[in-house]
Amino acid sequence: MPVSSLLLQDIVVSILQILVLIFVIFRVSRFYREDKGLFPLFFAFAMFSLLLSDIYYLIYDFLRPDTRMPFAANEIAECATVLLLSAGLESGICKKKGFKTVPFVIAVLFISLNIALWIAWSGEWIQDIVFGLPYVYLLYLLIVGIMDCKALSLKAGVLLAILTALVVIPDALEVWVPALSDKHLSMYAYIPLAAISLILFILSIKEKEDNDKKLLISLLFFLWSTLAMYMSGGVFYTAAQVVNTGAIIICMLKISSSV
Amino acid sequence: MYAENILICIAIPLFIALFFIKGGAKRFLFAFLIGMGVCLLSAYIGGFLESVSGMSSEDTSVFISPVTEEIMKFLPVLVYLFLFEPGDEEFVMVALGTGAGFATLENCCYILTIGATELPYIMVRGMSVGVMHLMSMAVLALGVNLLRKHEILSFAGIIGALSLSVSFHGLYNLMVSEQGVTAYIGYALPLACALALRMRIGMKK
Repeated sequence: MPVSSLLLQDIVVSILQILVLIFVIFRVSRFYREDKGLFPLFFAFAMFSLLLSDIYYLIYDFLRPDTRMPFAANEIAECATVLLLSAGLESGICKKKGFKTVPFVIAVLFISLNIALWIAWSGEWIQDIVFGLPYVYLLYLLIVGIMDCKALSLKAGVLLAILTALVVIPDALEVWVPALSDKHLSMYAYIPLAAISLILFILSIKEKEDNDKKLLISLLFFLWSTLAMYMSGGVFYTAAQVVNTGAIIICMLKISSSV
Repeated sequence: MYAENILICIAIPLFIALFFIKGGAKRFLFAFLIGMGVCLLSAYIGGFLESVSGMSSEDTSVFISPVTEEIMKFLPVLVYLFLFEPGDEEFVMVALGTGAGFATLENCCYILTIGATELPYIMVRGMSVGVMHLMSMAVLALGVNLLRKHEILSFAGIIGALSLSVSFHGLYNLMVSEQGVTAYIGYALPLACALALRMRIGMKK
């Protein structure tokens, strides 16, 4: 069957991520067997759900190339990944200390905007809303943890917030302002998107001392790279998936060094 | 084809047998009966979703059925878990009973519709589809037991365990939906998983 080059890229990167996930799951589940806490268990379980989702996506690409996947079983697996990471954060780093309004508002605003854009791109409003909600909780827990541990400096936080706005605004304008719909504004969003990925990559590599800070920043990098995939198309989606795979490896390394 | 009549015909003697058996056998048989009932309900829900979604029946069985069937199989097992707080082995037995009942009624309905003359088709129904329903419930039960062992049976954990069975079922349906090598791998997958799981359990003991 003839395949487009984009599909071929997609398949190659998916296979790469599957192999990385298998390695990560075996490595991290060793810590659970050695009784090194519950977070490795939740992380391994989350990555296993992601592995099943990737395998499903890969087989779909082989069997139905270049066709958009309707709602399918892998959506549940992706949802499970996010929920399990949230549960892992609750079990270890972000033990419940009461509801925090500011992080909640930030998480709801940002993810709602993402969901609105997903709906605008895909038209699948029920599943985008239902399966987008877990991201609100994960982001809320990460922001609470980062603020409590002071894992990011104020300068870094402000910079990330500005760059995030520069990612979202062009996409939103292109979708909702008819006069700008053919200006390809979303292409400009890839620059700040890549900048945020680079900043989070550097911050997650640099943080070596505090266990909680290491895990929080690396998980934030993973979450951002996942959302970046959903914001990207074509070759940029493939690039974001490579970054996402790298984020998984960094999370594994940070877990290994903190148990 | 009246699936309800098939269910009644098979279920009545099994239901009467409940009054004559005790212990684990009674629990398994009851779970089996629940599994058959859940199969019928899943068929109604699948039919409804097919008409609402506008998908073809093939696409519904590939993409929607794994989700609805696994959720429907999971619900009675979840109720049993929270009401009776069973031990690990008991919980796995009830989950497998539900899966077996589901697979049995589904296979009966298919065979009565299509006929039982084609042996390869019968083998696929029995050794692939039937075992797939068992394995999806086994994977789910083992996932839940792992969470219970560490006292972390939260909403996230339950969705995580459910995602295992949904993904397994979804993978199977996707692989067998098209002719070719992937279909043969799909047909072999449930039995291979069953053998691997049995060997793993044997090694642990």
